[in-house]
This record gives sequence, C-alpha cells and structure tokens, in this order.
Amino acid sequence: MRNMTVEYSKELDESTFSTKLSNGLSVYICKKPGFNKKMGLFGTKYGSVINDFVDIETGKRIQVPDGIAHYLEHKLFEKEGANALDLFSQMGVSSNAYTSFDQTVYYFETADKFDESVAMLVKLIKEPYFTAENVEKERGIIGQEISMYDDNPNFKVYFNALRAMYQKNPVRIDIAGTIETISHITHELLYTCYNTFYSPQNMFFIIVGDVDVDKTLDLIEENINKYPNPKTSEEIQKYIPEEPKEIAQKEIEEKMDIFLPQLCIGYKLPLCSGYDIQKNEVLADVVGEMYFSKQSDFFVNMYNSGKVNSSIDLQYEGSKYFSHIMLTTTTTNIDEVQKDILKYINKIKVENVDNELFEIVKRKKIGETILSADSLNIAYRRIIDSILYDTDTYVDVEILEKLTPQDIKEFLNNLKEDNQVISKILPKE
Amino acid sequence: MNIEKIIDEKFKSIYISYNFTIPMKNKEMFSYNALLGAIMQKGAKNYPNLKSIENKLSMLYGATYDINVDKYGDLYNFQFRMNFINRKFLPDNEELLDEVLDFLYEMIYNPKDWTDDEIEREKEFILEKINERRDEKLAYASQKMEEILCKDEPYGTYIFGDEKIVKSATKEDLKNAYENIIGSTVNVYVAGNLNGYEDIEKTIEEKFASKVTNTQKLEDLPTDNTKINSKEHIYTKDSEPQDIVQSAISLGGYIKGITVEDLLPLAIFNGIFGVTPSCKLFQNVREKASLCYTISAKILKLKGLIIVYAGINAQNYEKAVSLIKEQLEDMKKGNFTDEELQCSIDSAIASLRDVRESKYLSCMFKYSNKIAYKKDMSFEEIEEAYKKITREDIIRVANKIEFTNEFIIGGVQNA
Repeated sequence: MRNMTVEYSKELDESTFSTKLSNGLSVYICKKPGFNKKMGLFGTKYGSVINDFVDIETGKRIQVPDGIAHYLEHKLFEKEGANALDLFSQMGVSSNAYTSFDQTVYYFETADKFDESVAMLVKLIKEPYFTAENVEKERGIIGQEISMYDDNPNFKVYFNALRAMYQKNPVRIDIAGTIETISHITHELLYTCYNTFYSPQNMFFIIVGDVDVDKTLDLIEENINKYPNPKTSEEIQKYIPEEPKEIAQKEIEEKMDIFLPQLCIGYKLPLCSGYDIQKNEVLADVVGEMYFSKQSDFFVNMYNSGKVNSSIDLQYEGSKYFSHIMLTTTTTNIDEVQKDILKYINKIKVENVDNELFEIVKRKKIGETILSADSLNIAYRRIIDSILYDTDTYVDVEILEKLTPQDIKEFLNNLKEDNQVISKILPKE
Repeated sequence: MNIEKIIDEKFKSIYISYNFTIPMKNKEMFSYNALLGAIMQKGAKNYPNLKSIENKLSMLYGATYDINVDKYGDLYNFQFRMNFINRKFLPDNEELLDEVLDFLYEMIYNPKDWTDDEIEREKEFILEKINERRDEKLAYASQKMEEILCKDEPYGTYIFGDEKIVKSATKEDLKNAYENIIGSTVNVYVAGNLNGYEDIEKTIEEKFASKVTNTQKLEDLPTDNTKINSKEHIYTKDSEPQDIVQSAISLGGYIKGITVEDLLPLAIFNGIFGVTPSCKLFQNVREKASLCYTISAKILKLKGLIIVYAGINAQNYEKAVSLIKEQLEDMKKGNFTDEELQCSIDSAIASLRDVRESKYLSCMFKYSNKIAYKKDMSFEEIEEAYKKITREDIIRVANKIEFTNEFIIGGVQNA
C-alpha cells in the first residue's frame, strides 16, 4: 500500500493525488474526468539561477557557465542522435521542455499513447547521452535561440528590469546564457550538472488527465525502477550570492529597431515564504484588476486620452531566490505614461480601498478560478507551484476566498520609491 | 437560424461563438471592419463604455466577451465570442445564460451612436496594431509573405487594414460597415456541457432570430482558391532592412490547381515536410545543419499557399533557402519513408483530438469545414480519411507546390 495524499477542491471539482516513491521521487496525479488528452511532466528543481554548487560526484564546489541548465535541457531531450521531440512525434505524441530560473521541465501530451509516452519520458531523462560532438552541434541552434530573444522587446524590457533590480542574484542573467558563456559548456560539465540535480529526491513527476491513479503510479514506478538509484546526498549544496536589499540601478534603457516602446516598472521585495509567494501572486492579480484593468477609472482615462492602447499588466514573481512585482505596458507616450503611473501609485497607496470594487473583482476572480478547471495547463502549473513553494495544491483558491481589503492595502505598500526600477525599450531613431 | 451545438460534459463553462461572414471585397472592407470591431468591443447603447462592460462581465463571474476578425480563404469572419460558467459550478447554482444572451444581444444589435472622438480614438488603436506587427520579426516575415503572394487580391490586406484608409474612415463608413456585417450570413456555435441546457437553441432563436435577415448559407458563399495559383509567377526576392541580431526569412509559393481532394493530403504532406519535430525542415535545417532554432511551414489551404519561415544568421541565408528547397524536391520525388508518412498521419490525428479539448477550436473546426468542404465533416470522417492517405497522394500534392518568393528581414546590416 502506498502512502497517498488526496487534495480536493470543491470550487474546481478536481482532485490531486500525491505520493513519494521508494527512491524519493515525488509523483502527483491530477484527475481530469472526460478529457481525452493526458499530460505527463518530469521536472527537476534546478534552473538557471543555480550556477555554483557542490558536485555530487567529487564533493567539490564548482562554478559552471551561465545558461548550462538550459543547454542541459536541450541535450537531455535527445537520444543518440535523435531529438526527443522527434521520438515523441514519431509516436504521434507532442512534447516539449522548458527551463526557468528554478525549474527544468520535460513534458508530453497524448490521447492514446499514454503508457509508451511515460516510458519514453523516463527513458530520456534517465539515459543522458552527451558527447563532445553532439554538444558542439547544439551550439548553433541555441545560439539562434539566444539571437531570437535578443530581438524580442518584451523579453528585453523584462530582463533589463531584473538586471536593474538585482545586483548579484543570477536571476539577472538570461536563462539561456549568452553566445560567449555557452561557448564554455562541455559534455563533462553537462554530466556534472545532470548527476547533481537530476536525482529522484530533487525531481517530480506530474500527470494530468483522465487516468486510473493506482495503475498510473505502478506504470511510473515500473519505468523508474528499471534504473539503479543514483548517488544522492541529503541536501544539494547550492551557493546563491547574498543579494543586498538595495536595487542595482534606478533606470535602464535600451534602443531596438521596433515601433512600439515598452515600459516596465519593477519593485524589488524581500524574500518571503512559499505561502506568501502564492498570496502575492493572487494579490497581484486582484490589485491589477482593481487598479489597472479596463474596469479601473485609471486605465479608462489613460485609454481615452490616447496614452495607452494595450493593457497595463501587474504581476508578482517569487521563488526561494527572488521576489518582485512588475508593471508592464507598451506605449508611444512612454514618458507621460511613466509619470502618470507613478503619480497614481502614490495616490492609491494612501486612499481607502473601494470595498464595492473589491467584491466585484473577487467575484470575477472566483469565476476565473472555476473556469481554469477547463485547462489542463493550469492544473499542472498549480502543482508545480505547490512543489516549489511547498504549499497545498489548491492554496491559491483558499487564499482568494479569504482575501480582505486590508490585504490589498498591504500589497500596495510594497510599491515604494526606494525599491523601484524603471526599464524602457525605445525605438532607434 | 443556423445554430450548432457541441456537447462535451467535461467542460465547466459554456462558450458561444456568434459569426458573421462576408465575401472579401477590398482594403476598405478590412480597414472599416477592423475599426468597427474595435469600437463595438468598447461600448453599446446600454453599456456605453469600457468600464460598464467590464463591470457587467465581472458580475457574471468573470464571463469573457470579445470580437475577433479573421480570414477564411476569400471569406471574412466577424465573430462575437462569450464564455461563461455553467450553473452547476456556481454558488447556489446561479444561472447566467439569460443575462449573457441579453448582454450579447446588446453588444451586437444595439450599438451606440459613436462620437467623432470615439472614432478617432479607435483609429489610433488600430493604427498601433498595424504598426507594431514589425516588432515580432518571425510572425511578421510570415505575414509579409502572405501579402506578397496575394498582392493583387483582397486577401493580401493585413487583417487590421490599411493605414491610410483607417485614417480617412468616417462615421458613415462605419455605419455602412455595420449594416453590411449584421446583414450577412450568421452561424452560431454553442459548446460545453449542455445537459440541463436542452432548450438553449430555442432560447437563442427567440432572442436573436428576428434580427437575422440573411438566409444565405455559409457553404453557398463564393470561395475560389484556384485563381491566384493558376497564374504564372516570376521568382521574386524582397527584403526589409531592420537593425536586428537575427534575420527572419520566409519562403512562399502556390499550390497549383489545388482541389478539395488535396486538402487532407496537404496536411499530411506538411507533417512530413514542415510542421512536426520529425519533419524534414526541422531535421535537416535545424538538427543536422544547426542553422536555426525556429523553422516551420504552414499551408493556407483555403488560398492554396505555402509559407516557410525561419530565424537564421544572415550569412546563412543562401544555404538555408537552398536546403529548404531541397526538402521540397525530396518530397516531390517521394524521398520519404513509410514511417515518416505514418508518423505524420498519427500526428494529424493527435492534433484533431486536441481540437476537441478546446471549445473554441471545436467551434472553428465546424465553421472552417463548412467553408472548405461545403458540408459538415465530423472528427471521425476526417480521421478515417487521414488513415487512407497514401504515398502517391503525398507525391501528387507535393508536385503542385512551387516556391516563387523569398523575403528577408534584417539581412542587409548583419550579413
């Protein structure tokens, strides 16, 4: 008998089952009755910010080139010359992978090749195959991926804001690294990162779909058990440079060959607990809706006066390693819009919260939460959040229901001048 | 009224898609309708501004409402969309349907008297949409190729119209565009868990039928995808200088003498040639030659066009173009394995099943089939037809394809 945890959300009418296999791998199954499509995700709590750690093989501290977690993602999703996307595609299954600051995730989506897909996913992750030659071949492809982001103004305005906020934290470095940093990546270094961070204790397996829970657990375990348990340590030793409270620079500006300027106002916050990360995410959503969305007087005025055409987005991002709020918009009147937003923020911080608006927005967000049950993607993202932040799976739903106007007030108080940065992308003349 | 239901018990919300369809005419039609869509999305007589609309939607538990415009071959689609929660999942089983339909009715059939200021404001909105598309280099390279290939046809106009015409649009132009849209063919789709909503067609009919005057059927509207691809075309290269790191290229061509029998084989062709990770473009241009990260081919089946786009280093331009062309030649000669064919069929069937996981895609699947095949096509019918596609079918459609145009953004500065 397995020791299984079941979490149920009444609002979503959805259940998530979780357990830990004997080798330490955490498995989560979110049951979605009626859906044809099933998703499987195999991930590790390892991303671009972890560049300095103790090599599990040698026990020695090592610093690795920027962008290596992402490079590893590319190379691991490959099997003896064949790209994993291709191997899945040959079965009629779609697959992909992504690397972020604190996680790397590999996944597939299928209606009828579920068992084979689970087997393939485990095989790919458990059988790394890095050679000097195949690592070299990938450099050109990743180089083009980096170049693509170099021309993307949304991406630039965001990363520049991070660079302005953080002085030392590796979150200020592009996830894929640069053409220069990736030139130092070798197959030996990839093995070091793989051996250290792709151990069962540091990984998670997620299934979302209409599956039989017990059979699926058996299936995963059976595939995992084909491989011997790798060398592991209780706690992987990671060194993230201590980040000062202060921002790195107040303003950052870059010119690109674009039409529409981009503005991002960032606020660096102190690190907080997993629960508070989730709470801040919900709050950013509600505050954004109340004060910056199409139902706010502010946005309507900005729109009517022709200053802004698209939306003004507010989002919170947090992890074990960073915590910040970002307000982003695009506008051809960038200086005026910046001034208006900053003035407005000072105003709403001292004003009382409009209780009626708060209730209307809360109603909308509860509706959106129920609507989210129609999406398999939201289901897995919620589970990954709960894994990384060590919270209950449906904690966001509970937080939303308990939210009070006082929480709004406290959230707004984070928007201070001394932790604020301004990032702009302007067109070249 | 033409109302179709897509019943699927797994969904917790109900989606309504209210479609108007008109034959494409000219640049003016695109420009005025883009403006019309923008202004109708911002207000109606009883919801005079953005705030009142958004407030109402919040009260409907975050129901969504928008207007979408799109091209389906030579037909222009003007679509009102709403999504709202099924009463089974709401506190106290609160029913939203009547309010949602009333709201939708207001937005479609009870427009406000637009002021000149409001019209001028929405012109700015559309002009920004037209101008900002150059900021997304790869999508832009692909769109520009559509325009180049269809430069003598209404289809070659960008979906948000033409800058000059948008600027010159008058209130009269908008009113005419509105009358033209609401007087056109109507197709309504409702998707979701409709158990307990058995009368939904009747309810919609009672509310909307009196307004629907056009009785022409979607399948009877004129579409002709053989006109441009039966002409002779001279091979042409275009470029647009941009100061960027990566160059975006597109390669375009016509599918000569395309017929309705070619449509499904073309989808399977493209699975082998240019759209799956097993395809020739991905395998040879990306994986083997390491020339790009992004490369993909799309078939515009209702216009009989093919477009390949990729992000490359400008110095590899010639090499990439010739590699892409080699892959097409291989397809024409039948240089692909039975495994590749089977894999493409499996992928196409998997994508077909994906369509059913989305209310929006399910509705548009029904809609576009009516245009392409002039009749209903079920998921099962298409799946069966895919399974019967042979190597000969693929070679036959491949030999109808000819690349005639190249386009590169940013090739000058960073070559």
